[in-house]
Amino acid sequence: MNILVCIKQVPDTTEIRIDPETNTLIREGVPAIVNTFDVFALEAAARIKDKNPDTNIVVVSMGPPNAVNALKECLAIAADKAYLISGRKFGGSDTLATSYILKNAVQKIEELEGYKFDVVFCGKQAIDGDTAQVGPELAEHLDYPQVTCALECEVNNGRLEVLKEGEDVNLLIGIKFPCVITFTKPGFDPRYASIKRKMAANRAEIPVLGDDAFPDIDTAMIGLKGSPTRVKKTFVPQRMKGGLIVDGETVKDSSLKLVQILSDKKVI
Amino acid sequence: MDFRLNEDQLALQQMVREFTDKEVRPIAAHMDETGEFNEELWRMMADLGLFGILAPEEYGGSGMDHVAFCIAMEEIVRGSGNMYNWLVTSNGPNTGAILLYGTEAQKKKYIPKTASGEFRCAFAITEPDHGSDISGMKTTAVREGDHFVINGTKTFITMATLADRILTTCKYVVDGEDKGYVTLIVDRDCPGLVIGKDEHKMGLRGTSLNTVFYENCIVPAENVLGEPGKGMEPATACLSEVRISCGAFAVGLAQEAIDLAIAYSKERMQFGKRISQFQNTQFVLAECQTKVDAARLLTWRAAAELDQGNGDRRLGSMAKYYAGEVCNDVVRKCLQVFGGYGYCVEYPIERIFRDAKIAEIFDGTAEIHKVIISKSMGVR
Repeated sequence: MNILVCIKQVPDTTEIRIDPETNTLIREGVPAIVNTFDVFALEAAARIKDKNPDTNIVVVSMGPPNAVNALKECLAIAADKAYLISGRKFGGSDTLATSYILKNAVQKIEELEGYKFDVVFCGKQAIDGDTAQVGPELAEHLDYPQVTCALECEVNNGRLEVLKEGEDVNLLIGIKFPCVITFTKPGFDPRYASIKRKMAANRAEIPVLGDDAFPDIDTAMIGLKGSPTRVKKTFVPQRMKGGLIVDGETVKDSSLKLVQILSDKKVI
Repeated sequence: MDFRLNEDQLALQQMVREFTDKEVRPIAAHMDETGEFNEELWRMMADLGLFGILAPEEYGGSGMDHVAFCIAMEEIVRGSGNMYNWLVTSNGPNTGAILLYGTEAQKKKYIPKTASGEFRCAFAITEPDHGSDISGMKTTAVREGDHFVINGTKTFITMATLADRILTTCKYVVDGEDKGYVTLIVDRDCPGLVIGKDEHKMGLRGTSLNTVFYENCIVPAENVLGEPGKGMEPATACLSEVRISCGAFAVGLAQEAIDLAIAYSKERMQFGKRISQFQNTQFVLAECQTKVDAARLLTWRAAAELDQGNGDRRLGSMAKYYAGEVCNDVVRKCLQVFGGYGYCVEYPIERIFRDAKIAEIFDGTAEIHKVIISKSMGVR
């Protein structure tokens, strides 16, 4: 079985601060990590490999040259091979252009590896952009069926059984290969990289596919030109002031107090 | 001279640090209180490869060097001092001595399963009536046909209750006469091997320490390590690396104490100020960090020299003795920063204080190491 996992290197958003004057992210000194949801996708692939040891796991990322570090992290955890898609013409791509480039990357890697991928795994969204669009768009470009927000999956009788997170109930969905699955946070922790794999990953040479690797790509669909999304403004939402706790002897007392407060402020 | 860690060493440091933060430190107090062995943590550490850092890749290990081992040791003991015992029983003589003196069959049988965490190990040399003075050893091994028969008692044997095998050094007796020493790989199922009760210790309470009885214990002759009569060679072959790892243990505990004291000093208010604003706190912590850095460098130098093939016992002894002394000095001073709270069990510094003392005792007391150092200086 052949699995492609799409990953993104993102700033660790738990460490991010906003410059209050310019309203932009302060990226300096913020560590780069593999997007959390992509790690869940990689773990899902690794769990398939645990049961089917002849599985190939390839990771791909589109990003700047230093995104090789994120790919190496994936090699250390579970991936067998990694590709970086990095070219000047790809810069400024929004989710639509990115997913189009990734579709071309999937096909290019299949050509280089000499086999087709049975499944493409993605995180449901990147923690820096939070759009949750690239995975579904990639499925559309590839014309593959898709399941989003998967918790876990298992190969069963030649198809994939995916547990999809729902609002009230989870759904168990059977899906034929080839397909695209995007993953959300499962009920278990992803595995740690082993020391041995980490050392091997540090020494790994990661092939970089640049602009010239895609001679037939439609240049009108990539980069800024191919990106219909425009960010008009970024701003920091106003911080809410400390709340008011309305307490009373009984629920009735506190409810009456609350109604009085809201009434005084002419909210109701 | 380059004091910076290389890319592999930095990666190892980071990964063990993250693992320790997430998996070890949160359960350290529970391990200390209950003495329970945490099988799940053992399995996770095995998967990480921590029990095979020094084992060559061909035997399932990571094939890393002693500097790397010290880095991993320092980071993991910051979470819990007990992790020293877990790492050293696997990576120490049970891998090192078998690599140096074992037959190919012994290497294949024992090292991969030790590196993978499937086997747990112990090493038995100390006896109730002798510690550093090995000449007083009373446990004997006699060859009878296709096996050896061991009789005697070993004490202070770390992790003996859990061990699948105990590397045991005995007096080698032939026709009633002492013929030197013999080191045997005593598998847990050898008849006559009896594990005594756990010692109730001051520190490192999360790992067992037992007396082991050999009562006509029968060990197959194929389990002899090296040559009978020259059993002290495998027993002492790994002393340098064990002592260096003691240094890393001491450095790790001391660094944890400093970091805890820094954090506390920035929170604790006295006389309208954070106590970190008082010059006494600043000076104490500056002195502590400087000493710990010196101990760390001494430890890494001994490890780097060993990796270059220089097993000079003096270097390991200096690292072990100095780091142990620094550790106790630093932990005591850091506990003082906490005042009364440092004396309370809820604060990890109290546990570290108890764990630290062993750094001056195990694997050769500070005094024994000073003897080794002074002898190497020609002071007689």
